[in-house]
Amino acid sequence: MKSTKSKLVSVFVTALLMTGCSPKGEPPVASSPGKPIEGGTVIVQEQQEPDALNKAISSMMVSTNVLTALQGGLVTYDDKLNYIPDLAEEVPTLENGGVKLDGEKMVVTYKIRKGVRWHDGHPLTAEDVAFTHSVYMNPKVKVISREGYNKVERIEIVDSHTVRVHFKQRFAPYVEMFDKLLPKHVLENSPDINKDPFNRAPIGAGPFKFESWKSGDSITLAANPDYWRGKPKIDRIIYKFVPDENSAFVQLKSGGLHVYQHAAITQYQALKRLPGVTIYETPAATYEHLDMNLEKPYFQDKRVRQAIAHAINKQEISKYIFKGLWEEAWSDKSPLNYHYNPAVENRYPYDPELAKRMLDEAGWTVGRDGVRVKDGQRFSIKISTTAGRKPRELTELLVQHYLKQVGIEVAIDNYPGAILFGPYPDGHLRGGKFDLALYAWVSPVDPNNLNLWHSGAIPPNGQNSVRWKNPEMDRMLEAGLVALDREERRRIYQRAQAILAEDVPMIPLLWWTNLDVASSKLLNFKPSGSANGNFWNAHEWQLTE
Amino acid sequence: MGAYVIRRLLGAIPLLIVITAVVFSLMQLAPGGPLAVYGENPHLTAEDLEAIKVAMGLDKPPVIQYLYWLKEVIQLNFGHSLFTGRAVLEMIGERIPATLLLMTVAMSFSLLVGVILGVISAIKQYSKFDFSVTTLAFIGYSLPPFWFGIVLMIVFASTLQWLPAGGFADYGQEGNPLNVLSHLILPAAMLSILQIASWSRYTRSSMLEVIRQEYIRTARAKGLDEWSVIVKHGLRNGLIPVVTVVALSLPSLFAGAIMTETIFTWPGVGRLFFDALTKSDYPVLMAILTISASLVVIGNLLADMIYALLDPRIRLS
Repeated sequence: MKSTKSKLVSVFVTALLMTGCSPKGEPPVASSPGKPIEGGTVIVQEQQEPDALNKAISSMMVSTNVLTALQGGLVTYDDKLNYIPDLAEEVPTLENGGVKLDGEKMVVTYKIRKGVRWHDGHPLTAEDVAFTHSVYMNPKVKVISREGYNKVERIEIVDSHTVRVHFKQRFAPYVEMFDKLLPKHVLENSPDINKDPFNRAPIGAGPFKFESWKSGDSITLAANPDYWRGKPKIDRIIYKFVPDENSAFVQLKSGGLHVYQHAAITQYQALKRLPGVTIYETPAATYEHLDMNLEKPYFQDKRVRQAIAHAINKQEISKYIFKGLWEEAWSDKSPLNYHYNPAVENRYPYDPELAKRMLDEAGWTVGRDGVRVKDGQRFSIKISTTAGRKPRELTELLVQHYLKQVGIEVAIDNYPGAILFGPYPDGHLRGGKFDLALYAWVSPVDPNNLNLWHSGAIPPNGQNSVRWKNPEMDRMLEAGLVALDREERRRIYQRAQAILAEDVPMIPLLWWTNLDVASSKLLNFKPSGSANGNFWNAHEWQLTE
Repeated sequence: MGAYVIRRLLGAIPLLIVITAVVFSLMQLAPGGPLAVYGENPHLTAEDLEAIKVAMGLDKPPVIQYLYWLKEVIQLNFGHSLFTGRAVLEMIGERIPATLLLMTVAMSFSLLVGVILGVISAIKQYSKFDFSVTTLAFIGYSLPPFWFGIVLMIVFASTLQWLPAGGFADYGQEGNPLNVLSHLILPAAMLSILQIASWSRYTRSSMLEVIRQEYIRTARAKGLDEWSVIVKHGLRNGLIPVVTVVALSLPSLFAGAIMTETIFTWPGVGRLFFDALTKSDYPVLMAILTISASLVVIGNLLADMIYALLDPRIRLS
């Protein structure tokens, strides 16, 4: 009785702590795994509910997570960001003859794995690849990105299991395409793909079949006994929609969940004290960064931007806000990426004295109130981020503090995501209404980021919200798009990273570390920090007793 | 009476049209809009965005968009969601059972308990019982609901492990009433505690006013037993103001409770609304708001009709 009472007291204390700070932690309890079993159900938390289970028209992470286990595509990548063949027999490259150059044009040949069937038993063939392309190019379908598909001249079906994709021009990121295939026999007569019931009950060729979707509750997939790699070891995956992170914590603790994805950093210590779970700390390919609007007079001088980069203590931000788990970022490419340029590391070490000298040199002298002035203008700017996103709001406070140290006055000016990321011309970023902005980009496995940094991608044309124009960068981005030799491409993007570091239109701050927590009974759970998510090897998952 | 009801309902139509026009304009004025969710995608190009805009029908002027919408609604068709592409009524329809179940259970339970506590508090004004109910009501009313929900979850789901921590039912158990009930208890309790607190206060103050009336003294003087005095003469009059409040909460039976549904992952209309709100899914938002507004009108009408039943002095004409 007494123990129940004290338990209840501790419960109230925990509740208080969960809504605020968390207690000092002890090392996690390691539990020895039991005997692996065949079958069983794995329940995974998802913060959101998908809009449509069709990658062509859904940009949501949860759609990717479900479809990665369900659908299958020609090529995918693993947790080390290596491309691996899925429904194709191999990843086509210049070296293995899968890619042939013909002047400015390019032909990519995919050999489709034989004997693979869609979940309804229909064989998967070259026709499905051609059909997938036609869906992406159908102007009535609200496709998220036609990148690559719009560079295809024609698709040649050589035989039932060989398809040649003829590109109008060289396009190095071709390998990212066809990552999810659509079944022709199901969708070819659809009057409107945007509204097709398929989006709610899809048919794929992956390790798990669609079983049910209960609105507001969950999506259930069942093992596909005919999967080409063999029947998965677990029977079922349930994606449970749990929007609240405290609920996710308690459901994980009480056994209602096996996997809690992307846990809140504030729960880190409490999670470490949970018995029977393993915390996976995965370096993610997503980075927080500080954008400077180059159209504003303050930021037109490169020395000012470099000074700001020197004024910010990234390590301290990580320590105070992210428990020291997030690593300092120096580039827009992840250190895990093949194209990463290690030479840009520590280009701007924290050095407020140097920052002050650089600002002096740039003509910004300290005024009577401690704020720098140039030509009668005070260095007083605003910083914007997603309102209500606690870690970002705290980061902002630190940035405000660091810049005050060097004589720059920063006011906080936050907006809800819908306004911050809104379309041109009303959106705060696209519309160029910001001075400094703090948010994150996912750094894709393929290094092409022309849409972010090319001068032709300044809104409304693309996502170059900082309005950066650098002719050499433009040339690099154009060259990188058509360079097919792996080494040559790496050199191009390493140079691009060096230019980015020199010009600093954007200061990379920290790489995310994903905290994925899974029951210690779940084996072979290998979270990936890429945009591909944690389900790339769901066919290998297994439960223990 | 029938003519009265029909007149009132017809009179509400222009009102509802004005409400929908105002709501639609407010949504259009709000910055961001449905295309903002695509803004975090680094691959998004201007052409792709324009194509999405056309496919969603957002390229037309707002007035035209509204008229299209109105034309559909007159035929009782609330259109398709911008994001799921599904019929809005179908999306709402599948959420209604869960919301109705949660809200009716919570409301009936809290009304029953709240009214009883309120009546006893009023009869025994300034007694220990009254003070305890008053204190608890204020505590109940002041509890931050999200915090209280988490405490319930930690105590009963995590520590004692008596009840599940969230969801509508376990896998494959949707048809099992006991399993659904076990999932229902915590969210219903979270909602009830607030409602009990407020119902008991309404009932208490209303009853206090009534039992000081002359006719109550007369009833006692006639030698009626205390039960008849309180229930037949007192409660019947004392409930009139309570009925107004209850009838006005009719829309919440449909619209659900966003916070409770979020914490306990209950698949109700409240969460559908919240999701649609974060994405600016206009058709879904407009449908839920229009149905809610209609229910406010109906709730008002019901309140007036119940008055007439409770108080013979009120005549509807």
